[in-house]
Amino acid sequence: MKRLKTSKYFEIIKVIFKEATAYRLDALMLLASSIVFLLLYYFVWLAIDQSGEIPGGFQQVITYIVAGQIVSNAAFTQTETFIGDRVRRGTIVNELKRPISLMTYTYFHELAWALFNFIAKAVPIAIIGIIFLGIDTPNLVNTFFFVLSVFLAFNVVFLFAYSTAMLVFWTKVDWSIRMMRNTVQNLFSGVLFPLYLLPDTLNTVFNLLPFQVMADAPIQIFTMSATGSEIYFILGKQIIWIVILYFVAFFAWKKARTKLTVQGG
Amino acid sequence: MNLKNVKKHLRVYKIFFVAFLKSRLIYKTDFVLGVLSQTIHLVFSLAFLTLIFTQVESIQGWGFNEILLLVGFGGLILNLHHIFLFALYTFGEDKIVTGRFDRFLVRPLNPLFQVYASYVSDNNISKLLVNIALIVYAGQRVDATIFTFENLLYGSLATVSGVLVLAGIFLGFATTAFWTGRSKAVFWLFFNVSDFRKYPFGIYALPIQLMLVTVIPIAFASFFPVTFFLEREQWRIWQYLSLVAGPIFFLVSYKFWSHGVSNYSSTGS
Repeated sequence: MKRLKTSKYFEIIKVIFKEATAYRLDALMLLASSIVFLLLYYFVWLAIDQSGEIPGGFQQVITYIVAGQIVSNAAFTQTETFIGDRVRRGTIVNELKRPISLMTYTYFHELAWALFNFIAKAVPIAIIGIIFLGIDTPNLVNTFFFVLSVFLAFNVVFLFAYSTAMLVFWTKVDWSIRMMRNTVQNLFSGVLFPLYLLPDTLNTVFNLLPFQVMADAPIQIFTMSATGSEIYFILGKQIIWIVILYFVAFFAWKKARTKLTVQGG
Repeated sequence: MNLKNVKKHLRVYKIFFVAFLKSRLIYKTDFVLGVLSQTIHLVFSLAFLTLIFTQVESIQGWGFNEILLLVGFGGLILNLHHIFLFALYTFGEDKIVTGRFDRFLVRPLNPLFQVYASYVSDNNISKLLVNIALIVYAGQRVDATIFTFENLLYGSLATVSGVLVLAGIFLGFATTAFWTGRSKAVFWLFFNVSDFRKYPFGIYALPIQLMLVTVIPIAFASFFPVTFFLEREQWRIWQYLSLVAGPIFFLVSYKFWSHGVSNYSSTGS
């Protein structure tokens, strides 16, 4: 019985993986976009380094930025699109007929995409960063915990994005909601600007937000600025946010579901 | 293209435009949320710039206000282009794969004109206003005197040329859809490359500088014109080239587009 249950989820992942390979061109373009992003900020930070003094030096900033791209390419899902497509076409009804809940199904759909993106985008970016940008690499222990932390970050992003995706039941449009979340998320998580360079008061504020554990947390493990027990503290903080956001997502879905019944009438 | 033909296209554009705006009234939430998300995007990118300038006072001699002017002027051109000429973004997915491009070929109007007229990216309007505000704000704070008649004249010409530069890039990218059937993905690449316009040209390595004046020539639509306003003599030739870059790049892309049109065979549904 237990075996059968897990194989159900495994099947979803297998199917999505096939789906993902059909979008190879998209993946390639997104990888190229990511490389363009790295190139741009490589030169911007290089220029900043030449004009002033960056605390910790240029090497640390560029390692942080590359790690940010690794994390965001693997863990940042676009759940609004998944839900939005189905709400607009009305096929969301089909998802509700499945023997698993909408949240579980969406979760495995996004997890499969994250796995695909990890292999197709995050790993190539890591290699490019190491070979061409000469970034620092973490030791074996930190590499292991980095991957684990990226997985936890994926869960945080998923639950957050799933909550905002529920808004689509009211708005019927998803691109603007997705864009708003991505905009806020990219700045507050550290993907755009290394959080350790923030002024102290801002840093405190950013650290209280869920976005910090979406990227900055795993990045700290990658850059080796967190070691030993600090790593457990980071993982613990991620888990706390997963629990909190699980309840948010759960109640958002409960609200959205009543809205859906009205729609179906 | 004689004058009568131009007049006809303008008249048709007005009809298309009004029809589009009417159709938008059904999707008010889409418009409101679109405007909101674009505004938030711009505000956050300014917040990012502010954070960058907590680390330095100037990047290669460009202070915060000068960078703001660069962002504002480049953004103005980008938004003007996007509002009226953004339809090419989904050209492959919406027009080629579906076979809808057939319709445009049988009508007695220029096919490219019809593609342009089919969509108005009205959610860019808020960004356009913020970028104008940025130019006014930053313009008063930089060392050079920005608001002169000479700058107004140069700025208007550079804006028109800059919009054509972007139109040329978009047209070149979208034309590949005649062969691939898709266009969105290649534009994602452009959206990231277009951020290069926000920083001084001199910070990039030579290959990138070459790219920004040839394959993706956005330097003509932001950096070079702004150096004119800031009275930076060393870019003199490039400042004047910026005024002709638009028509040239657009014509080259249009040739490529015409080649694509002549190669187009319908999906045949």
